[in-house]
Amino acid sequence: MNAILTHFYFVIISVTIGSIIAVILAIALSRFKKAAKYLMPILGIFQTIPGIVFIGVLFIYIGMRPETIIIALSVYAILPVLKNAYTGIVTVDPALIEAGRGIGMNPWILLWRVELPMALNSIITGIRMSTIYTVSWAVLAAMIGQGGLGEFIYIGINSNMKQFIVMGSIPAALMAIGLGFLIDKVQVKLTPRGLRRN
Amino acid sequence: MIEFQHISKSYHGKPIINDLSFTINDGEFIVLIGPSGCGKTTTLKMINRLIPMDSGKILIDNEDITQKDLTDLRTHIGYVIQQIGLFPNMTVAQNISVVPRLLKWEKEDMDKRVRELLEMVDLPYEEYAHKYPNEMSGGQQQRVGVLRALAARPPVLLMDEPFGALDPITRDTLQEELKDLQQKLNITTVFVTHDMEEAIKLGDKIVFMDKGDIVQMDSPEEMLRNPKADIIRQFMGKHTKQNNTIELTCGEIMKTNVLKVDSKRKVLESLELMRSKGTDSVVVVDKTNTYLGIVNIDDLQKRGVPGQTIENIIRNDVITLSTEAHAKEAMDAIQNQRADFVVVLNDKQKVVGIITKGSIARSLSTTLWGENNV
Repeated sequence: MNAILTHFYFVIISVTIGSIIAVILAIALSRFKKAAKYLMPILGIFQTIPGIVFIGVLFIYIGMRPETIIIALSVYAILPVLKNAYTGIVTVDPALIEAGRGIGMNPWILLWRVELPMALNSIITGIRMSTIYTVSWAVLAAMIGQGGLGEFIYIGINSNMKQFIVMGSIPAALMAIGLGFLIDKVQVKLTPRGLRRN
Repeated sequence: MIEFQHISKSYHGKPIINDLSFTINDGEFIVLIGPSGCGKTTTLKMINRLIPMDSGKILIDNEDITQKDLTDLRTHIGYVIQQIGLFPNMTVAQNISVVPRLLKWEKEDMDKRVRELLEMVDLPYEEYAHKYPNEMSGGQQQRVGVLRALAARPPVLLMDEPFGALDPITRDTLQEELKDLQQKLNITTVFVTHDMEEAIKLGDKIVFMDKGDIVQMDSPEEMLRNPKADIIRQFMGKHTKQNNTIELTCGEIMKTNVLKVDSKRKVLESLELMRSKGTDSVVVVDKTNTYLGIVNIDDLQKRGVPGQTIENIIRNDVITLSTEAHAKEAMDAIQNQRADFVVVLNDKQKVVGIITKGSIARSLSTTLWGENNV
């Protein structure tokens, strides 16, 4: 039970931090579309670094602490949200932007009242993806002794006891499904009637 | 009063506007017209600084617009675009309140204003205020687009081909409504179009532009009588037949792109169709294209029973004429009986076209200009 809570705690904190950073980055990048064309692929490269390597490197600098895990997982949580949020913002119908500017919205207000609400659906889809990935990556926390469901999986692997592996992976899978379902509900709730179905 | 003083603008070294100077008086309805690339939209968008000018000055009531705060300038100029641009995440009421909200009006004032405006265009508050744009027809959406522009009582209204994407019948109705509103509110209006019949119908003055210059600026009557250049004459006669009104028949002046629906269509299906085509009424026919009547969107929304066919709400009060009928009959019907349009049928009662105020304006202008000088 404790392991589930620790795992859950890693996921929620990291996805929250990652998403906030991602949305801010996406807003910044959407103001500089030319730069974004080069920056997005570079950020994509980070995603290809295996989690074990990344946690390993961070571990050298930060040590065996929960922060190491949180930082690593947050970094991994950024990209799916960033990609979706960026696409969501830059694909807002240019007519809406023109109408907004033309009737006197400044860039800030335009962002808050038009661009972000229009991109919200896409942002939530990104957060959903990040959450599900993070549930599985959080297993790596056990690698540097920070607990979570990975603990059982490592014990299982090391001692060749299948029941431990199952004890770790089934709750993790259920957590991923449950969180995904929850986010779907939130998404429906947050989508105004005028944006549904199209 | 809006004054253009020696305005020039070029894109990548290519001149778009050449030393443009003209004045728009308070309460005037000015239509900017010309071939594509003539600079009419650029001219319009320079007034609310969506496009900056290279040189020259634009004064609104003797104030240089570049000296004004941008938000202040734009919240005092209504703006309507062809793509309508209602915010899909906001209800009708929220869309209309955008500018009042920017100006920090009190909640009650905004609400009162929304009611007042919806009333002006016959969209009952109870029914429409809390709808989203995608729940309305194109014509209704653009009505709201116009209301959004008028919400904070701006002294100036800019419209960039606002009715360009609507079907002929809806366009005619909206033109009428706009002209009424404009006169009632006495709001200085600058309207861009490439449709001469629209320009003649709406404008107090027409500004004809070509290659960044004003070719002629005159009242519609004057421009009809004395077009100063061949290009203007061409523009007026572009889509018209070379004929004399005296001999014109309904078949010759009608528009043939009529939206028709089968009477066996279901209510919701028809609503959806009208929404997607942006029209307020459609002609109803049976399987053999024989005329049965018309259905309008109000009836559909109020009296239509979902799941049933539209047969029960067909109206028969629209005037029909044969293709051979004299065009004058159509004009009389529209002029004297205040019909929005008449339906043209052939001798077998099949629907072949419709005649709107616009079709009549167009055929009249051809007669006045005589033949095409192409």
